[in-house]
Amino acid sequence: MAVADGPARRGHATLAATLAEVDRLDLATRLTLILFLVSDWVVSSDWAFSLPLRILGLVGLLVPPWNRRLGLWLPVLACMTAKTVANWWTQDNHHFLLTYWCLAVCLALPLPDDERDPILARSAKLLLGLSFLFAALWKGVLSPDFLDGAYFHYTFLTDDRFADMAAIIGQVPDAAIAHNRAELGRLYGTADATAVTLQSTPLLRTTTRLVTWWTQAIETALAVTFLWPGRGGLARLRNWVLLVFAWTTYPTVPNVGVSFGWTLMILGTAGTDPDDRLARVLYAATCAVLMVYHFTPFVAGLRVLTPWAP
Amino acid sequence: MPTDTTARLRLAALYLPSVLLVCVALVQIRLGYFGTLLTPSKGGGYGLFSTVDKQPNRQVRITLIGPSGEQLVSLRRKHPLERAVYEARAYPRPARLGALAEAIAAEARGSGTQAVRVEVWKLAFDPDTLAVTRVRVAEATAPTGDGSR
Repeated sequence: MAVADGPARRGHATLAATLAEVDRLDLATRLTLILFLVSDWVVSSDWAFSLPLRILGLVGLLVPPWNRRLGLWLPVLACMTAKTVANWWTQDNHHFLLTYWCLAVCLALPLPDDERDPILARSAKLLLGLSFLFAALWKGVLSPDFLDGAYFHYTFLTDDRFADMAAIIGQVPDAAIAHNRAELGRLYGTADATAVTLQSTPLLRTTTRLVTWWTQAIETALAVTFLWPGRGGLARLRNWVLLVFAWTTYPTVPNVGVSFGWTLMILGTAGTDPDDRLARVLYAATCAVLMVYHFTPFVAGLRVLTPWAP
Repeated sequence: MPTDTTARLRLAALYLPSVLLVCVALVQIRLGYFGTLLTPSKGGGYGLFSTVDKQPNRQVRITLIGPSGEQLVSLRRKHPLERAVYEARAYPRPARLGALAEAIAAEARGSGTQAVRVEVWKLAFDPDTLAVTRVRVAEATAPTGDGSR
């Protein structure tokens, strides 16, 4: 039976085809500028940084050639660098990563056309691979409480943002989360309390161990595939590993998706080979999915649909 | 563009951002792992989501010490020292923590408080017993100059 070729279907096909044909520099720079517009976290609450970054983002998107002009990216880099220096000890890792990315764009833009895109692609892959190398090093070697499951177990038991996911993967009732928050309040708020005990479930103990090992495995895989030289061997898997990482990680931490996750999609896009059209479409589509995770009660809805969740 | 300039730019474009990433991450490991004061989640070393010892799980405790005993206090919202307290949670360097204690002591001068103690605590979690304990990371005390301790 033939599928009706309606206007909506044709529209989606056209959008995908357009995304696939857009070159990686165009797409990666545009995704960066869109990120400045949609993420308060990335541009910071300080107007001295957020205002110029949002104006530059608008200019770059509304006046198309400017999204790849050094005249736009130099002030972007200046803002990102100033923001990073001012918030060195308090900002999250992806702000550093985004600053390195802006530097990479500024250094690549003056290069001859035939060298610019391949060099920026290699730089993006190195940034991604090294980020995950250090992330995997912290989790697997340096951290005293990651591989034993303590980090994820504690986080799912105490962080309100994870309450729905804790109910889905660990059958943790809301009352237990409330109890845990109250106990932490007692620990923080009184002079003599030095220890409290949290409430959990046996299922959460098991699933957080699985989440721990999955995270360690996929972040190590990301480091290996993005640092793998050339296009053959394990390098062929890199886009898929990054996409699977984004699809499986950010439903759990949707607030980080439209900042860290989006930054990874930008670097993934920039690092694609010219014929990786499908990967570029999926990276751009994943940015939209991250918005859905972030701006809708996606996990709360998932909880309602999960029969075993309390 | 002259060829040698292009070659240098090509090298810089390829490696400079990554070299910066590696240098910052190594310094962060030096401070966060070997130095123990900096939380692994901050400082650009990619230790986020790796340990319970992250900035939101740290606490800055401010204690006023007077003739009648000790009193735990917190800064009001939008206090000028709020930013310094926020930074101290992530990286309580002795000099900065001492300066913070002195600034709070200067504010408390004339109130009968003899000294101010500022401590930064982190949490440790035992997944087997489910016990959460407080562990002190750093501490600084400053006299207000009101009377003698």
